[in-house]
Amino acid sequence: MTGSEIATPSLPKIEVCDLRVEFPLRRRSFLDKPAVVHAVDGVSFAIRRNTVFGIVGESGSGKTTTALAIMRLQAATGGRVLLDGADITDLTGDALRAVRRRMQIIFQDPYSSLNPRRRVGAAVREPLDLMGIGTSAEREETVARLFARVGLSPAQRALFPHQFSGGQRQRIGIARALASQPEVVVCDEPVSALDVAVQAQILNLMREIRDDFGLTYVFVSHNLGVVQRVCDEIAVMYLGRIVERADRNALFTRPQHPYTRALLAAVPGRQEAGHRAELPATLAGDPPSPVDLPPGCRFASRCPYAMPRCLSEEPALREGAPQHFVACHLVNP
Amino acid sequence: MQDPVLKVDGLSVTFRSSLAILDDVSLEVRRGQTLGIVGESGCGKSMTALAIMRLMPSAALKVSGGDIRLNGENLLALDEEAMRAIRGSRAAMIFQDPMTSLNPLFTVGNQVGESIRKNRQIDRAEARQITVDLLKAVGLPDPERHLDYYPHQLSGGKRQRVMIAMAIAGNPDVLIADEPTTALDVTVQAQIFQVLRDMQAASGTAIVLITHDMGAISEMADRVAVMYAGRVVEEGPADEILAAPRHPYTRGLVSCIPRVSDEAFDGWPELPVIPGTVPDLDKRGAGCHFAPRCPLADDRCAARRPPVLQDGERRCACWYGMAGGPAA
Amino acid sequence: MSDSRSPEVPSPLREAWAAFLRNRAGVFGLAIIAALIFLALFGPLIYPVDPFEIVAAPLTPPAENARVPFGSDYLGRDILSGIVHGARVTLFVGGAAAAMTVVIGVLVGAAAGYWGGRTDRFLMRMTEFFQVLPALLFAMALVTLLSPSIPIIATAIGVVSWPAMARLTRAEFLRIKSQNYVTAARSSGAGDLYLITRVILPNAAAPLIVSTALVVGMAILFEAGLSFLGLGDANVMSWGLIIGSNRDYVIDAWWTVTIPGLAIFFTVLGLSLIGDGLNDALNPNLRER
Repeated sequence: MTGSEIATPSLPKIEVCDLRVEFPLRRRSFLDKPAVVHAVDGVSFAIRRNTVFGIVGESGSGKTTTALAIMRLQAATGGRVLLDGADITDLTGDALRAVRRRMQIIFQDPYSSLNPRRRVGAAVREPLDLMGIGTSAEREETVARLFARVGLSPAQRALFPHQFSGGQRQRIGIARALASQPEVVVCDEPVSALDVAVQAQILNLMREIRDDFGLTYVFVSHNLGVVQRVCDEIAVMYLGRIVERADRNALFTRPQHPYTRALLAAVPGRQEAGHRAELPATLAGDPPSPVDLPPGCRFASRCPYAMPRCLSEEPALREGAPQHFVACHLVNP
Repeated sequence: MQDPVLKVDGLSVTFRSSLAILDDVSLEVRRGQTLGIVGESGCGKSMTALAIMRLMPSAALKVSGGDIRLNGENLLALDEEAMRAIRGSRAAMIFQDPMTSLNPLFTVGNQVGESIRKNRQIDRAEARQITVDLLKAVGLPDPERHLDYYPHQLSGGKRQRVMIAMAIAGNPDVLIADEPTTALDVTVQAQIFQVLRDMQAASGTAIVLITHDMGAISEMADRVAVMYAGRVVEEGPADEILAAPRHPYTRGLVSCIPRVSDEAFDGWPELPVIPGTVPDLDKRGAGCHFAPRCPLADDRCAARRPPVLQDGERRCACWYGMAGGPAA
Repeated sequence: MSDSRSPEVPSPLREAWAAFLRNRAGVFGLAIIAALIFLALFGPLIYPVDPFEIVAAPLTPPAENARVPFGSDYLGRDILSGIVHGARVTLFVGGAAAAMTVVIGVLVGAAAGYWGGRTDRFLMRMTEFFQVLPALLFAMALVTLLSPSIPIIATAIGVVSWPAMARLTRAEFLRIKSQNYVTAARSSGAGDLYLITRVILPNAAAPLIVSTALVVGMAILFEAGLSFLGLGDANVMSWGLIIGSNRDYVIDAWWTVTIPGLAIFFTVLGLSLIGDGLNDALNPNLRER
């Protein structure tokens, strides 16, 4: 497959095949066996163009690492990432730079994502400068237009990050991500650091620019209420693996995997609708360490329905209902 | 009717004696009950908690009016030494970030033991036994083993359990929980809420739960106080307020938070918003502070402070509140 | 947006300068150092007496002979002239040693912190090797083996003082490297050099500048120490040399060591006060209120 191939509408925007990311752990002494954290352990999915693909999970599930690996901001130790059908896993130098122009990121923390010593206008212009897009005057004009687009005054370009509120900084972060006219934007918990009233403002802005720029979003979040409204398709991750992947409405109305069901039941304020009973007492405790992973299903230690088979054999992600993938022996025996 | 355990009446706090951070805040919570305080950051939720504990973060902050009564005793009249005796025994507090709230250099057993020995004259062995009981009560599995752990060896959820154990060691009359689960995962959050409910059922401790999460309020709180820009704008039974909010700010808060729903969605719906942000301290006018963001606001709202209208168990500070404006 | 902040903003540098000016001790330190620089540049023109020329009776106390207002040393040389002419050398040694410290320290620390892994381990072992060298002995050996000239002395001081700077730089790089704005720049195709020089280093600058001010002071003390031990450059007048050459007469002629000692004391004090003031001025968290 070559990169010059014309993208057909049926071709996914992004395809991830068996993606793996491992972090070596520091050994206590040279006699120890080298330990490895399996942050992402064999993850596969495809994202249709102009859709929003949600990755949900708790901390340590590998959702952010997956998103960074798609963007080649985190080195993958295995697997492939395809953008418009072209393999970008091993690109370096100018080719990688060209791909980076097409994929940008919006971070969770609007405080650490802007350089405190740089005027925000320069921060938004940085991708243009680095990629050599346009003349100096054109870049300034682009930046001014982007500021207006995200709801800031172009005059505010001369200010420094600490002079803005969290919501305004996130607007700047969005303008920065848009500067190079990307096709894919990875949103890593884009509103979870913001105040509740501001979250909706930012989400509505992201919705508008998606339509304006024809973006494909990878939306990483732990906020299920947001994900339900924003994402077209959702993957639920647990300890580096996808345990369930489905269309949004299928996932929220007919969750299959015990972990997904527990997640939904744990959302506070749902007990009055009779969901509270779903939260099994055995979901007590924390996930096991991603270093010493148990054989079999990773969720088995917290799963109320675990069977002997779950402790020995790892379930594969299989299609039960059409387009509804679940990795569970109970659901797909 | 039973007297409230904690009664805050007309509390005002000023910054550099001119800017009002808290403006005539009145709250109360009864034994065995939970009062939720909600609002955006900058609304004065945490400041209310710190004022109750008399832990003002800066000397520029001063209580300029009102009183705080714990079982009838005015905390504002106490000297610092008497107040210190109350903190950790009759009034305790837990914070959002359990990592920075625990001393990284001491073991769990050491820290919980210290908080017990601060209030009771007992020896180490006894303290150790009580510590184990406390850790068991907050649902820490295998408590003996955890005694010798250091905070960094615990997950966030376990650290918050240890914090709760330390807070309830003195068997407090009131426990103030400032965003206790914000830093935690949702399944862990559910566990922590369960611990707090069990603890409350066993001891009758009154809880003040500060949060920005309406879901947490509906799950935990008997009553809720909605704060905006240093004032309580609406207060009353939590289920009534969540079901039928009267203040436009409460209505906005309830509607702009996307909660998991049973309906099916198509595409990306536009979310209802509260436009703008909480005004800075020095930009709060004489009238209703919410007026600049309020869909109902008129000249009267901007010019004059709205009256607090009482209706049975509920009160609301809005020129339109009790009239019941357009539903959310 | 509802926020209507004024669009004209002072640059962070100007803001820091304004904050520095509010710190009285820092301004006092700056005044001392400014006076010293003035002395180094123009002192020899204003007070052209040759510091090596014998102009009065040996060990004349201060204020006794108008030709030697600060007194004379054991050979009868003018101490005031020594202070005036030695300022240049003292500042040069301090400046050159500090420059060397900063260049080596920042390069090593930045490389170790930025690349990490094997590079980090190698560079840090090397840094530790230099750090455990007994500084004074090593500098003495270097000066004795080569020649006791001012550039060699400055080099010797630089060689023993860069490890602290390297460690500080590395720590700052490690901290800043994980900030999202670094990742953001990387996602826009920024290369290593750009990230190091344009993104990370400016954010690490504050503590590095502060510690540079302190390194200058330390280098001046070090040079005085070497001269006192007789390892200074005997052909170039410096404050350390005055102290060193008169050390046998301390009991009888206090002024021969006290006056240059005070000069060194005020210089180092000035530099410390500047460092302190810069620390407050460059730290936005302390500046906010």
